[in-house]
This record gives sequence, C-alpha cells and structure tokens, in this order.
Amino acid sequence: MSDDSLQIFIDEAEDLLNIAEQALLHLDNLDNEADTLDGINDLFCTFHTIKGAAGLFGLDSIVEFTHVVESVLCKIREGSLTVDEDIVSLFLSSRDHLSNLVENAHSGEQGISGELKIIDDELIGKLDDYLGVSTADEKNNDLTLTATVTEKNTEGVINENWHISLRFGPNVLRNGMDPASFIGYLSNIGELKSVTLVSDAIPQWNDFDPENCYLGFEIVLIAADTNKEAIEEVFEFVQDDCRISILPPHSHIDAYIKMIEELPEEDMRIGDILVACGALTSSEKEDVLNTQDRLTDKVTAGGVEQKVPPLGKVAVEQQVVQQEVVDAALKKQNELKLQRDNSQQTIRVNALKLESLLNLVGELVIGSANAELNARRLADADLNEAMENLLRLVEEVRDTALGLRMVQIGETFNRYKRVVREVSRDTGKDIDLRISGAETELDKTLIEKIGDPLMHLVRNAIDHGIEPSEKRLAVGKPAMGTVNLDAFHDSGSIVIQIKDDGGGLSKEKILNKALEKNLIQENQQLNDQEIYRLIFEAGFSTAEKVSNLSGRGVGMDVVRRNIESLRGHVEIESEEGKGTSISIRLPLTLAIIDGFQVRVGNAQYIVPLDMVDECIELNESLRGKDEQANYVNLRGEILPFMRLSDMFGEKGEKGEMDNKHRDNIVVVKFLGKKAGFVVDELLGEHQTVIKPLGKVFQNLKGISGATILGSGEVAMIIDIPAMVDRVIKSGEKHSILPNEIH
Amino acid sequence: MSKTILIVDDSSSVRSVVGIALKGAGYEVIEACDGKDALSKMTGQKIHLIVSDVNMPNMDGITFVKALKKLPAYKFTPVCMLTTEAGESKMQEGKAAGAKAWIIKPFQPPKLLDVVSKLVG
Amino acid sequence: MALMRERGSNKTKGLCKLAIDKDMTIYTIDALKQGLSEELDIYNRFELNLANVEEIDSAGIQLLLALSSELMQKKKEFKLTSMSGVVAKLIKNYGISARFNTEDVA
Repeated sequence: MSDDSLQIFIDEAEDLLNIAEQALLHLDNLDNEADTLDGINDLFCTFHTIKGAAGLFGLDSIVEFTHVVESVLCKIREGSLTVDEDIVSLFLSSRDHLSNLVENAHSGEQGISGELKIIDDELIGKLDDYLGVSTADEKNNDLTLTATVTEKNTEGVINENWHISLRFGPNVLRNGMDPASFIGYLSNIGELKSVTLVSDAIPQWNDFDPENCYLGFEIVLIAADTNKEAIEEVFEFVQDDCRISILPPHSHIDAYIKMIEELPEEDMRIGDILVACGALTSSEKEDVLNTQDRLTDKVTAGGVEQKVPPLGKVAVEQQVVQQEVVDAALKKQNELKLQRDNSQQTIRVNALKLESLLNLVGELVIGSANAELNARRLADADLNEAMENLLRLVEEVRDTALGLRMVQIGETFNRYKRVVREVSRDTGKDIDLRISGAETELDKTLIEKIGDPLMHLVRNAIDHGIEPSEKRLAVGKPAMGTVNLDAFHDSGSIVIQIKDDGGGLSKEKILNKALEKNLIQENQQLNDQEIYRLIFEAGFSTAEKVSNLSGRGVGMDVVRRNIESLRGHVEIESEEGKGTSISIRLPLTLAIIDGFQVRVGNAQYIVPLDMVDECIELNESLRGKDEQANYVNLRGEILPFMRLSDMFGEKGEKGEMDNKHRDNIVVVKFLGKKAGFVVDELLGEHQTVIKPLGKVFQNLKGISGATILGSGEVAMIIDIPAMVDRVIKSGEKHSILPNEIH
Repeated sequence: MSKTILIVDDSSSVRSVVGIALKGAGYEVIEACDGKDALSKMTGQKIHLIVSDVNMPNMDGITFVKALKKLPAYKFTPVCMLTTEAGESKMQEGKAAGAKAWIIKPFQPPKLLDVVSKLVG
Repeated sequence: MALMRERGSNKTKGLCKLAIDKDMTIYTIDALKQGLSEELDIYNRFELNLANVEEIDSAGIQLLLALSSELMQKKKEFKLTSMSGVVAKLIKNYGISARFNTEDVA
C-alpha cells in the first residue's frame, strides 16, 4: 500500500471528522425532527465512508469501532431508537475516539493498546447497550461450526478431479456476466483439465436471440487443495441465474445420477459428454444409466407418472459439504494472520527528515574528502588505511541514502493513460498508449518536476503528432494511433521517450513558421536537429488549427526550460509520415554525482564522470602541425576541442611546450557527440556534492553548479551538454575537410 | 487491449487505493465521485466494468445503475456494487436494478482484484 | 463493429465472403445477427473472416455456433478463413475448434 494513499485517507478522515463534529454540534434542538434526522444522516455517511476506506487499508480497529457506531445510527434512521442527549454525547466521544484511532493509524501503529484500547472497549460497550447485544456473542458467531468427519465413500467414482456442471440462464449475458471470465477464473483455483461446451440449447437461427445465453459447460478441474465453497464462490454472481452442480473428487455415483437427472439434456447425451471430458469412465456411465433406468422403471411400474425424484443420498453430500466449510473457515483465519504479518514491511518517513538526512550525507561526503586530504598529507599508513575504509563506507551510505529517494516512474506513466483517453476523446482520435520501463527508478523530486512537461509532450504527440483516423487509413496506417512511453537508464542518465507513429515533423512547415515569427533569418543554414529544436522556441506553434488542448504556442518552450532546469536535455528524432520520437535525458539524481576533477591554471573544475569518455595527451602527432587548429584526429575521427583556459579566461600554461608541461585532453561524450577540453592537469575522481549557484551566477554559460572540495576550495562543475554544443559549433566555423587531417 | 474500469465512490482515498490496485493489475481506470459525475464521464468510450459505491451524495449507486441500464451504450456493462454487510436490502435493490455483482465493505485490494478478474478476465 | 461483404463474393457462384471487425460482443451481437440473416438465403457458401475482431465474448461464440449449425442444417458450406488472437484463444479455451471448418492460415 502506498504511503500517498494512506496520507489521502488520513486527510479525508480528518475532513469527515470535522463534518461529523459540525453535524453533532447542530443536534442541539432535538425537538426538530427533520433537522435531527438530517444530522444523523450526515453522521452516518461520515462514519460509513471512514469505515469503508479504513477497510481498504486493513485498519481493523477503525473498522470495528465505526461499525458499531454505524449500527446504532442505523437503528436511529430506521426509527427504532430515538435520539436523546445521552446518545449525542456518546456520539461526540465516539467521534473524538475515532479521531484518536485515525491519529494512531497515521503514526503507523498496528492495532490499539493501552488507554486507547480501554476507551475503545468502554465506548463499544456503551454503544452495544443501544443495540441490545453483548459483544462477546457476536464475535463468536463466526466460527461455531462443528466438524463432522465423513466416512470415505465406498462407491466413489475413479475421477480424482472436481466436476463442475453449468447451465447458464438466459439473462447472464445481458447482465454483463461473461461465462468465459468465470471459467477463466477457475484456473486461479486449479488446473482446467477439460472444458466441454454444451450448446444443445441454442435454438434454430430464426428463434435464436443472440443476447440470450443458451450455453452450458461440463468442466473437469484439477484442484487438490480446494473446497466446494471456494468453487461455489467463483460463480456467486451468477448463482441466481445459473444451474450449478459441483461434484468433489471421488464423488459417490449417486451424486452423478442426481446431477445427470437435473440437467436438461438427454441422459444418454450427458453420459457421453461426461465420459468424453473424463469425469466418468465408460463402465461407470453404464452403471449410472442402468441404476437410473431401474429406478425409473420402478416408479413407472407403480403407475405413478411423475418426475423421478432426486436419488442421491442427500446426507452423503451434506456431510461432504460440512467438511469443506470447516476447512474454508480455518483457511480464512490463516490468511488473515498472514496479511497482518506482511503489512509491517514498510515505514512512513517524513519527507523533511529524509531531506535533512541527504543534506547531512552531502556534508559527510565533503568532510570525509577533507579528512582524506589531511590523512594523505600526514602519510601515516595506518591512518590512510582506516581512511580508505571510511571512504568506502561513506560512499555506500551516500548510495543508499540517494536510493531512498528513488521511486518508480510507472505511477507517473499510468496517470497519462487517463490523459490519453481524454485527449483522444476530445480529438476523436483512437490512441493506444503503450508503456514500457515502468519499473525504472528515478529521484522523487525529478519525477514530480518532470510530470507536467511530460504530460504536455504526450498531449502534443496526440494532438499534433497522430493524424485523424481517415488520414491514417488513407496512407495505409492502422486507424489506431500508437504512442509509446518508455523509460530506461543510459550511461548515467535516465531517458524518457515519447514516441508516436503519427505524421512526423515537417521541416518545411517549421522553417516557414520560424521565418514568419522571426525566429531565424532567411538563408540561415540549419541541420535537422536545429530545425526540430525550433519547436521549443517561445511563441512557436505549427498547428494550423488551434485546438483547446495545445497549439497555443505556449508550453513547448516552458517544457524545454523545465527540463533544462533539471539539468536535462531534449532530443527530437522525426521522419515525415512515420512519426516523431522525443527523448528527455535526465540526470539520475539532483544531489550528488561522481565527478572528474581537473585543473586549469589555478582553478579546479569538475566534469561529471559518466560523461568522460577518455583522457589523452595532446601532442603533435595528434594535432598535426597547425598550432591553432581546434580539432584533432582521434583514431581517424574528427574530435573538435577547446581550451578551458580560453573558455573561462584562466591563465593557462599553453605554449610552454618546451618544458615538462604537457596538455591533456579530456574527451567527453554526450548524446553520441564527442568533444575535447584541454586542461592543465588531471586530478582524478571526486565525489561531488552539487551546490546550486547563487542568483548572480545562474546565467553563467558552461557552468552548471559548484561544489566544495575537501580542501575547502570551490570548484565549478562544467555543463558538458552546453559545452559540447559550443565546441562543435566553433569547430564547424573552420570548415573541416577530411584531407586537412593528418 | 487493456480493459477499462469505472470506479464510482465519494471517498477519494477509496478511489485512490482502488485506482492504484487496478492500474497495477493493468486495467485502465476512470474515477468518478458519484453517480452524476460517473454519467457525465461516460461518453461513449468502452467501459468493461463499473465498480460503484451505494451511498453517495448527488446520485446514489442504485439510481445510477437504473440510469445506466437505460443507456444503449452501457446497458450491458456489468456493475459491481460496494455494499456493507448491513446493506442486505440495498444489495437486493441493486441486484434488481441490474448490478449483479457485489463486494462487501470493508474489503482489501486483493479481494477487489479477485472479483474484477472474475468479471472481466 | 461492422459486418462487411468482402471482395470476391459472387452471387452466381453462391459464394459469400464476410468479415467482422472490432467488436463481437453482447453490445453488438444483435446487429451482427441481423446483418448475417440478410445474407443467409442468398448464398450457398460462406467464408467468414474474423482477423480484425478485437474483442469477443461468449455471445460472439454463441453466434458462431448458432450460425454454424444453421448452415449445416441447410447443407450450406461454412468456413472460418481467419481469426484474430482473441477469437482463436476463446475458441481454444472453450474446446470447440473441431466444430468449425477452419482454413489453415499460416
């Protein structure tokens, strides 16, 4: 059970208890019958709703208590009890007690104890006085069955399976009951050995009313551990409307005779069906039919023209039934016990407590880095060893703490099913939403913040992406459009993908629109990605018809901003006529990352480790002779690079190639694109607790945050996605031709 | 194609728990807070099962079922009533109106899923 | 739901090719029976394509059984040329595959 739901219950119960209190306080003038009855009705409804909801959460103490209050209220409503001051004050204390019970449940307590229990008993006692029952009696009623053990049938049939015979009544289908569902459900109880459909009752075509049910079934069920009650329960909703016979394994042959006689079909025919489905052997069938014939003869010989009376020894069957009922009762008791044991495996935690724990873990990480630095300086072997152990533990604590915030994305996805249905209804499009990767986990904060942008994208896919059915059919697509929602992990990020099989993005339309809105200049050269990205620009909308769902030109830019504020990125792939796929790439968590520390001049920077592809030394063979070139030949690939010192205005050490200094290139990879950064020194891995930048620095290009190093110094975290774009762009200005690379 | 279930209950926590349980089992869920709300949300889409409370404001469960059985698009939709052990008369009334299945409150999600799978597979 | 006469039907040869799509349940069964009734006297051979049936219930199965026995009684041919997964599954669960003349469709 999810904590969210319990919270909803607690809130709802509090609201209802307030209503109950108001209702009770208005019961001041008991002479006004109409008002009083209204108040009692309100009370009844509140207690009733709380009881129903509490039951769903297995809050037995609340259910038991509200049940008694409800019963007293019921008596008043029926008119067999009149309201007086005493009852009103008893209801008031009951309301207060219920409030305590809810509070008790909120704190995660199972059951009640101590003073609460004493008050509970006391109030129930007082309430019961009005009901005229003693509680003890009522509670014992449930299980006062005396077990009478049956003797093993001597004349049982060989069949060791259950036999179920069904003849459905005419209205079953009209009532929305489908025999197929019930029969399918039987496989939850046992294995369906055979199902034989008896269609003899279907009349001639002209008399056949297709909404009537004429079907019958003979079913053989392999189920060693079940009982008659459980099988009867399967058909409880059709029992008024269906002839049901259930014969336990090795039933007495008389029971079969009785069943056959009661069935509408010819006895011989049923005999054959039973043999065919394995319920009886041929010789048993002969036996059954012969016995029956003899008895029929006897009756007709006596000159009495009446239907053959049921022959089965009713007693035999009844004894069997009793044994089954006792078994069922015991089983139910055991199940209840099990349920209680299971419900203690999760605990509710206040989100604020969790947050402060995570903050502390962040500080712990920084503190331990500081300690490590000092330990290394002291160069004490024992201390260093202890330190290493400590660091490993800190790392584990960090991972576990972060894991506490991880939740599955499935629930968020499921919310969209409804959206899809609503949108498809509004637009008249038939949409199939397919969800995969629902079990993918990501940070709760991320999930909360990504919900709305994602919703917008899903709406957009349906509204703009999927074409109207007629158009789809015309181009040879199935009328039903498909939207895929998928989530998966990919190299340190979470990717959420929204894919539709609609019309795809029209580059031409986008370009025209962008020109019209002055978002781009005429003759501006743009690649596909850049064109698609235009749809995320403020004030952009290509829908020719503005619908009330999307298409107002607001939204897509907000979507992009929201995603980027989560350090996420949007990628679009589209093929005209075939569909569009939008991928949102998000970091796993917002708080702590594994970083790669580098030095440029006097400053230190952090590159998110999962984006670092490799580190290479920048030398002449790599770069060629051109000192100013901003690309290298990396094993035959063009790798554009940039000096971080140029970028951030640090005084780098470039050009001093003659002495010991060597430039290093950190090769990073993002979205399959590679770029290099020249740095002065590689310092290695560093656990990085991300601290957000202050307002002043928020618009800084190329920096996504800062962190505090063990030494107390501040290091900037490089915004790799932004930088990769920048490096690649500046690389393109120097039109690189393959023959220029050495 | 997954099956769609309409849950009608005035308690938001009941709707929440029932909704989570049903979605978890792969059903699509539409929620409504009373009979009136439910009717307004039934606009032609296929609904395979309706799970409805009996005591609700605006329009109670019995009135809702009676109205439902008059709608050509939904007259065959099975209805499962959420009744109480004390509500034997309500249950008979519901059955007469056309709600042939029931779950006795209080109940827990496994029981609900059990009944649902019995009714819609 | 729709009952459609497919291409290839031929009055002079007496062959009727029919297809049912989407819904074959209690909701649509009355209309389906009416549609089928209109064809029954005109033709001698019937081929029914159920490949596009998305939902079928016991009412749908019952209709097939009634149709099959009606045609058998009138000595007319009846063949299920193809069926969707849901139809095949219910026919299998009900153990009635043998009651229909089905074409082997790979």
